[in-house]
Amino acid sequence: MRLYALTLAACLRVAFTIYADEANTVDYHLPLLGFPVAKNTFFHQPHSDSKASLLYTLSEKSVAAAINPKDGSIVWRQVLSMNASAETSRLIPSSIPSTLFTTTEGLLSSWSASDGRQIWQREFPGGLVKDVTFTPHDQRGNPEADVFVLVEGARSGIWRLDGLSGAVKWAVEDSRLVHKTILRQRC
Amino acid sequence: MKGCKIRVASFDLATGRQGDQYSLSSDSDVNSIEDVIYAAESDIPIVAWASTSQQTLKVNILGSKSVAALDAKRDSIQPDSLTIEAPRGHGGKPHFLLHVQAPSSHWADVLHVDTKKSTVSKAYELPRVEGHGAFSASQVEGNVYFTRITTEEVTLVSSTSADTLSRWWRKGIVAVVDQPAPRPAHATTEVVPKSATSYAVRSAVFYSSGDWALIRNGELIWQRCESLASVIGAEWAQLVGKPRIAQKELETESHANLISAYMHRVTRHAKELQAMALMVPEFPQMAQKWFETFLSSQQSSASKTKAFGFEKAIITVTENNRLIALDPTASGKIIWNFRIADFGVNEGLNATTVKSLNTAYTALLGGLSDRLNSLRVKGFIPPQRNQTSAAERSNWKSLSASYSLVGDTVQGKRNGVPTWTFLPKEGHKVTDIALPLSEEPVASIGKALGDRGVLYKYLNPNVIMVTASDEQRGEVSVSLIDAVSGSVYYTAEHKGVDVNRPISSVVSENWLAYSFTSDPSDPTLSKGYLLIIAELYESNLPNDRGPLRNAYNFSATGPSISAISQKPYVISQTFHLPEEISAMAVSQTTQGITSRQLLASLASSHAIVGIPRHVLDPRRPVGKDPTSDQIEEGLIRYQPMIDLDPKLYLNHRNEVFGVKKIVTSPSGMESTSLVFSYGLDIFGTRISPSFAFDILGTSFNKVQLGLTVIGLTIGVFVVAPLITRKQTNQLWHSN
Repeated sequence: MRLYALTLAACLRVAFTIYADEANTVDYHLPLLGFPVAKNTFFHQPHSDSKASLLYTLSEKSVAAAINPKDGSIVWRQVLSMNASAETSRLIPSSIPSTLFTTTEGLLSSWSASDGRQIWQREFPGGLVKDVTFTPHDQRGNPEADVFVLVEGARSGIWRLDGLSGAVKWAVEDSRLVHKTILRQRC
Repeated sequence: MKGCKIRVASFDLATGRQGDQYSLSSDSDVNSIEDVIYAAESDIPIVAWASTSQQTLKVNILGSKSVAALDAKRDSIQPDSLTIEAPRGHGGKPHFLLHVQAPSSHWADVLHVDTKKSTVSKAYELPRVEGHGAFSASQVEGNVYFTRITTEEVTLVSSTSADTLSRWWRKGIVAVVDQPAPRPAHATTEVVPKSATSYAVRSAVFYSSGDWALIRNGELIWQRCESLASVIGAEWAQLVGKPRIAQKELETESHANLISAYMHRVTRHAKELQAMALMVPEFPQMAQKWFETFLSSQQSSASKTKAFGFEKAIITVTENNRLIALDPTASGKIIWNFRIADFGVNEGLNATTVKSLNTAYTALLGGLSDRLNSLRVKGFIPPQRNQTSAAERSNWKSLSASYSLVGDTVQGKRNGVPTWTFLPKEGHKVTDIALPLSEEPVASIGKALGDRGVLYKYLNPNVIMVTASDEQRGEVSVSLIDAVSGSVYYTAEHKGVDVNRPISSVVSENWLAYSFTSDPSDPTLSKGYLLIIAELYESNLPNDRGPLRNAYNFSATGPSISAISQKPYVISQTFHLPEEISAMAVSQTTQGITSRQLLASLASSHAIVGIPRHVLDPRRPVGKDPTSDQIEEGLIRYQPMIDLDPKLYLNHRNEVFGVKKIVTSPSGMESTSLVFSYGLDIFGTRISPSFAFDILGTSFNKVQLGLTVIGLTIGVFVVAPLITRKQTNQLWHSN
């Protein structure tokens, strides 16, 4: 009897998954981020013209995400690396409208703030991106869309990149430079 | 340890040429860059660090060389740590907040920076409050506001004056049952001034329990349990309910003689009849409920899940020492969320100790059920287990054999006495041990062949599969060992393997499967992701039980007929996969009749796929079409590549990131198996590998069936007398 049932069951080899009307009732998926890191968590406006803001975070598991503050659901999520350490990863809101920057080890990426798509990415081989800052607003209030990057490693230095395309404008190499960069507008 | 001097250098924006620079005397306080707690991250042009005793804050304004020292002590309490909260973005006033945390209380000072005079001064103090709290700074239209979040209240102050602008009492607790309550670790805030005096404040607060919550005007709006992203172990647990017929009663009946068992049964039924008489007033309600479930076609309604046995919970242990139970019938909702330390288990659980979750449970079980009862929550407890760890396996009651990983070898013990040691090949290190489930039901002892012969399966519940790898030479070896005697039943070695990529393995009934990434230097060998399956049979001849025949007793350690006799006959086959597998599991059912599926998580496409067993059959004919006998068995021609049909994916539209392990469990129905996976994301589902043959589909029209039956019954009762009358009349009239 068992053998008969077995052969019968073996004949029903059609291994369907689930039907469309059963989806999300029979199964469940909890998309998670990991613990949010304090310095990488903030409210930010994805579109400069609207007042609505999203909650952005880069968690200790290197997951960059945008959360809708109304109900806690994930708007977009990017897993930057499955094994990057939390100390070197940073999420930085940029003064360039609708963008965010992430630094993970030797990689600087620019992301679109509203839908999480990558705009450009620059790798600094053999180096660690330690800090990123932006050009301040000039007297007329127009932001110049440039990014200053402090890199430590094989070629330590400060790089100035074009914020919209990632092209290098100039680089200063100084092996004594480590860790933090300070940008100050001189009047 | 030698201290560091902080060096401040300035560079021209347009050309990058270095301007002036100076050094600050911070040797006594700063040992590494991490000690600098603030460095001009928004418009506030200061560099700040704490003295080694954390009692004073030293501040340097950029451009000047002087260092100001500010005392952080209050009421002569020693601070533990100093943090600076400053608003993000540009255009705000240069005001910041110094948050001082002491062992059991906290306070804050608001400091103003005067850029023209290059001084820092304390504007006002915020009161000292017991416990822990979080501060966050935000900036709106040039004004800076500070929000203070404690366990009791949320207050808003402006950076210019100490008056509280708004205060809200905290409503809605973060849903964990910790004693003491979870404390806010850090927060970020958005302030919207609605009018001159009223403000709307929303803060995203991260609590020490691993929950991230949004608090708007003091009220909890939503929370995310982010501790679930670091789950290190999970187990299925059965709902503890009252058994319908007491186990004791059935046992007495089966052991007594016939007459007394019959009388016992009759008296029990009489008692139950009495109990039923008491339930009479509830009949209409029960009938209505039954009618509703009969008519409803929803397969996942609450009563149906209970009847089908889908109501199991998953108990997970996380890295931050929490025990969380999830309800798979309610979309993975959290049932309870406890801190393990609250149960008096002092040792911190880490990933290695929780590999055998059973030991954690035996320690927790005692305290867990009492605590659950006292809190009046659903009493899910893990299934009854032997008081031994997963490394131990008990055969017959007289013997207790166990094995454990000691350094780079596997050692076996019997009754505590070491009996065998397994050493992998020289240079190899043991990386993984896979074992079959302890009570895995096997529906048939043999594989039915096309010519009505039987190939008997080699079923040994004590086998373990040891995977060892050599990183330098890129080799992997897999061995199947008997855990009782230590004899090696099967070994396979593979060269040219990328050992840094995941190697997963699984053992179930009479087969084992493992997968790795092959990257050989020899160009004639195939590169790619390989999945190897090996099946064990008692003998290579059909209808042959091997040298043991149908011996009544078998001892793994007893004398054998020959060295070869106890070894199973192994058939193995290799398949190529389009993607890499990061974790594997086998679907389980209560009686083992349903064909099994090999569940594999694919890391690069963020998916979980269920590969049916008939695809992974090592007896598939190679190089030629199957004969008529083989077609009867269900074998298809061997193809080296396994194409993953989109219908095999379990996760349809969901993207499941970072799966570390998949856990399966049988459900009440034979056709369905429950699946749960954890890692970064949590995903769970029910699968029916042989189609849901024991559950009526949702499109089955029960109403029509009922009406047809009723109609036919009425028809029979109406037509039967007519027919008998007609027949009688015929008999009368024919004569």
